[in-house]
Amino acid sequence: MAALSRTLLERTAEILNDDPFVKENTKRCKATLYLACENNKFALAFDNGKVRLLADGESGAEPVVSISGNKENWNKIISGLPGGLHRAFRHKLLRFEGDATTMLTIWKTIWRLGEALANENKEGR
Amino acid sequence: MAYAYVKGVRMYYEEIANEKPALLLVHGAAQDTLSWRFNLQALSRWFHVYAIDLPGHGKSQLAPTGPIDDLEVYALYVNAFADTMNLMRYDVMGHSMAGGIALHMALHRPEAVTAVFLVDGACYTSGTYGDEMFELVAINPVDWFEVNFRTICSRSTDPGRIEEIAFDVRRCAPEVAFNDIRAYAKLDLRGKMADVKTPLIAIHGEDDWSIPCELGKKTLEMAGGPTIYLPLHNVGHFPHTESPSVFNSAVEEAMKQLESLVKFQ
Repeated sequence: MAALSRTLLERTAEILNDDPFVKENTKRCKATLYLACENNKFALAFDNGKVRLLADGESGAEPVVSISGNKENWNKIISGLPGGLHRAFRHKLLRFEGDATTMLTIWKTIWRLGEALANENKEGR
Repeated sequence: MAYAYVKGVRMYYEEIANEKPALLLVHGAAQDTLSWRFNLQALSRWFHVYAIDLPGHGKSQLAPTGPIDDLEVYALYVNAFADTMNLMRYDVMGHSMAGGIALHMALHRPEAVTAVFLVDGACYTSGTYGDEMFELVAINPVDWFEVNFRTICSRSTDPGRIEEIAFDVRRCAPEVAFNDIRAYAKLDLRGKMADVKTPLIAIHGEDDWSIPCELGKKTLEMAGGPTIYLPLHNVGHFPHTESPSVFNSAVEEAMKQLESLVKFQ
């Protein structure tokens, strides 16, 4: 069963660090993206083209964006729902909140994050 | 390649001239005539083809009022383009939001529009666009649209072809792309579909989650005239660009069925 987990996000952060879309999209950006699935909360820090999964309890730099939702809808993304996180936004499967300008600035990164989560989950590495 | 002056706007169009019936090709949101680049020659087998850039798109001027946010206004421009070309009767093929434009054209001129081809189009939307979404999209419509275009292609589509589709949207002015999506979001012709008596052909990619097949099918069910439905397997929102040979074959099939329909009538 797919689940948004620290292990999956660690692998996903590695993938994002090698993703040319993400490097280009975040090369002049400092921001934190929180991902919340029911009681679990994780944070990815973007710092001038680098992506890092923050440790539990470590707070990220402003500005902040968050994507949150229940396990059922996160599992759809992780299981490879066509359209991924972009579709989750359009169809309101997950809540997208926080600094609006930053959210739309890193929109391509958010898209790639959804793709990476699904690919890593499928690979099961 | 040529320009026509339509209601004071210099509109760009491409034409493959012959003695066959006229077909107007209308591109989707944030796109232009290039979206038909793999189809013009194939379509000229049955039609004298005109592909136009809507006002503000591609090489066409903006309308005097600025970027258009109403599909009916776009329809008036396209019908006026037909007047400029001295066309008395013509088919219209509209992709995505331009499916709505084509339906408006048929409603305005039932005597002139002889058939409407909806390419991943419908008479209403799935209702996923709201004010909250527009506020966000307005911040960066080009990136948002590019991601949208990339994700509504089929996973079976060649990645190189997806890059071309993504490139289409990056050519479009952000304010034009944004108003296109606002125009599309307002589309709802369900109450008028019984008045659409002209043959209606829906060619629809089965992998399109943005305008799902269901919307195309329901549009046909509401129409007041004959209909043809041609779903395309392993194709997303851009059948004519993602899988041109499959799409062109579907048009061939549509023309065969259309001929039978017309004979039967």
